Amino acid sequence: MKNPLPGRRRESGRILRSLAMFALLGAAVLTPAEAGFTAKDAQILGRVLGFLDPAPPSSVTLALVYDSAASKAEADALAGQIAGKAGNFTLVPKVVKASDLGGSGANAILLMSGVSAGAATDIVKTKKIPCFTSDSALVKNGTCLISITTEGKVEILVSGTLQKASGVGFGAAFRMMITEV
Amino acid sequence: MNISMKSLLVGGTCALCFSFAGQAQSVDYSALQDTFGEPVTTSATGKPQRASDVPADMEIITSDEIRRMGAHSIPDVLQFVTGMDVRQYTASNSEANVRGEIQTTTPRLLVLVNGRQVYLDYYGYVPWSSIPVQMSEIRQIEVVKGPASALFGFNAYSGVINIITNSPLKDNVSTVEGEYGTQAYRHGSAVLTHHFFGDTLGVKLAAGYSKNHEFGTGNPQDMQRTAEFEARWQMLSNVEIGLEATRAETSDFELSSLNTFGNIQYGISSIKGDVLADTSLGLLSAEGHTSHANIKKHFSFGDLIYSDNLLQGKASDLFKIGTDNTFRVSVEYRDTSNNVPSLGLPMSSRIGYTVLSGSAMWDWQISPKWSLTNSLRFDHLVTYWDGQFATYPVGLKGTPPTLADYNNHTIDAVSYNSGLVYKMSDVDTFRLLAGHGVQVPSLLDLSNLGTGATVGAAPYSLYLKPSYQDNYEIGYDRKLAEINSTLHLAVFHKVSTNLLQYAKVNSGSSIETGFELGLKGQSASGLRWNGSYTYRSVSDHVGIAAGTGTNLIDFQNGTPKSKVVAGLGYNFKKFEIDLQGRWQSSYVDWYNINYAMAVHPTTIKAYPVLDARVAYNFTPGLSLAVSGTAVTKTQQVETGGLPVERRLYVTVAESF
Repeated sequence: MKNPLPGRRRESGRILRSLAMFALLGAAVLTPAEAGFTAKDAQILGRVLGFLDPAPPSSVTLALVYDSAASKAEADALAGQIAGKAGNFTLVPKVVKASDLGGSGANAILLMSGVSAGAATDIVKTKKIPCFTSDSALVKNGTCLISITTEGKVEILVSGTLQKASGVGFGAAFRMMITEV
Repeated sequence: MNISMKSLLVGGTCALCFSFAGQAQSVDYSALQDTFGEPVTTSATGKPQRASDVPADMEIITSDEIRRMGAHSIPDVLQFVTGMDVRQYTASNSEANVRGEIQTTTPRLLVLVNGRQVYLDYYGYVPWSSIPVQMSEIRQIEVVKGPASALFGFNAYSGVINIITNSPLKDNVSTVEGEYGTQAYRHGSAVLTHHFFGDTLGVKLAAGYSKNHEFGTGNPQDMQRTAEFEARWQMLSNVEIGLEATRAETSDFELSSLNTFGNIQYGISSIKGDVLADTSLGLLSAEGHTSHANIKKHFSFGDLIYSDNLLQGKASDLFKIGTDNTFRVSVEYRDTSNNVPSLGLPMSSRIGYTVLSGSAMWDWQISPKWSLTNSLRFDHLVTYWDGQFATYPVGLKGTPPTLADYNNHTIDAVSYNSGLVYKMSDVDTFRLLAGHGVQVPSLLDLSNLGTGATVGAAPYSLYLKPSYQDNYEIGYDRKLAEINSTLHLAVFHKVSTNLLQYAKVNSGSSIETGFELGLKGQSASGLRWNGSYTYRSVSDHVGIAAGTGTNLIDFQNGTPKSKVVAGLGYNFKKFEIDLQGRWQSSYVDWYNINYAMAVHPTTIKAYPVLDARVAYNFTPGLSLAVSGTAVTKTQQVETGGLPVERRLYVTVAESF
């Protein structure tokens, strides 16, 4: 049969030009900078609690940990924003000084910006409760369990070392989707 | 339901053999999507992944997008997906495939509902109108572009469509819908979900009925009625058991594999059981599934009755070693058979095959920016013939196969997928993909005992070779925060060899090279947009000229070179307004004069399609919508089938 649609040609040059154009476009935008923990991050924190094994109670006392005037101001401000429903949990924020964390009765810990994670690390190990932060460096060095950032794209980083040391586990499906370091 | 006791026993046993206690829970699409802010899928590698992370070229159409399209069928949705080719031959009969290679009774696309196959093995095609799913219960439609046989096996040759419905356990969603439209269209459906025993047991009952006049005829030839039952039980805190049964009865006006019009009646039943357990050994799953299809085809040259049976068992383990390596190992068994009506044999004469498969997937997170995923699968197929055997005619290449040959023929096939993903930044992702897919000859191909317009030098159909598709692709995604959009670019090159067609020969090869460029986004003010352009160039290298005998392979001319998709939507107070359009360049299809066993080419001119929908939401759950498909013309020629007519609908829907 004669070709009813004549004139077909390879268009590889056009394809390559298009690819190069969009690669250049892609290189033109900077990566967004990390920010402190936000109310939006807290919503994701509530979702993450649902994947913990064992699961925490439906009402979670979340210790907002500070160790300086600046971090206390941040904790106070955040406490007013995040109290209430997050996922299937009710967050009850409690502003706690780092040195008082042991007696806070918290079900979960959230470190404010610049707070040393030392005290929290011990609590995570001994009381088997999760520690959250927006600073991924604290997860990478194994002093806090989970970092959450929602700027641009939701990124959840989990410390494999601290997970093993604390016995705090996650559902398998969730574990497949996060980055463990 | 015509399900044999043997099938039930095997399926049930397989489903229960892993029912030991575990420690966590199965994939919860809702919770994971809410956490990560984007659709979640398991269709790329078998492990749950965010849509933006998959080592595959994938598009996910969400339930919101499906609703806004005003779609009344799965092909209605797929026609607006970049890289999908859809031909609507009649009001009830559409064909779809990924990136060309489309024809009537297309056998190159794997279509699943929650992982359960809904294509029919006897032709290897999908009777879209008989899929037992209500549009209102679909959570998302996942489109994997390119071969994915290494994960899904045969028929995942050009791509995979996985239709994910709301889980009765995780999503407590019920809907009732009624529709009235032109062409005497009437539709009603109900999806009722209820939780028992403190939300540990979820049960869903769904049913739908629709009928309409066929294009141009005014005859009420099209009817679909479907019913589903699905229950999922959280048996232990971390062990989940599922049971599903479906039934679909449809009467369609379709084009056969030779583009011959006919009235087709389907009666398809299925039952599936599965167990998911999260153990210290990983996420274990086991599934047993059986289905039976009765297909009655009424053509001017006579009636054909097919009886298609499938029994399938699968087991897999998905586990993580350390922090960076995820593995999935699986085994699968399937037994599928069909009768051979074209030879005048009794229904008890059946050709079939059993397949034993093993596969493995390794996902390596090399660094936070780099990941490499490799999948490998091996399939071992053995044919069999039950009942009366027909004597093979002589004259073809080689010695005519005997009954013993039919009971001893094997096909071994290896398939793979490999994907390297580089997240250059928070907004840039590159993908380098390669895949090798397999399509085995269908049951009808294998049973064609040298009859028909076979070329003399061809071997007997039992000895048809599998067809292979190799796909190589570069992908790039970029989030454009400034306009809250995502840009997607894919450049692909695929080579299909040993092409299978109903000419009972391996016809040759086809090469396709092209690119897809798309943009999708939305604003906080309620405006949303999508647009894409697809370009491809196809060259065929076949041994038989297209149109000779029953050979319809002409992908070179049968694939539109360009396709444009554009959509715009806006939410204004309680109104939801959407337009979705596509345009495609000309191509060559086939038509059949007077139901003869010969086909002729016809050039289909470039044409646009525009669908529109306006909805008013009285409450968050109750809506009234007016929608239309192909609204720009009363009718237009889109294929070698019937001209497609404009259709208008009024829909009342309540979800609760």
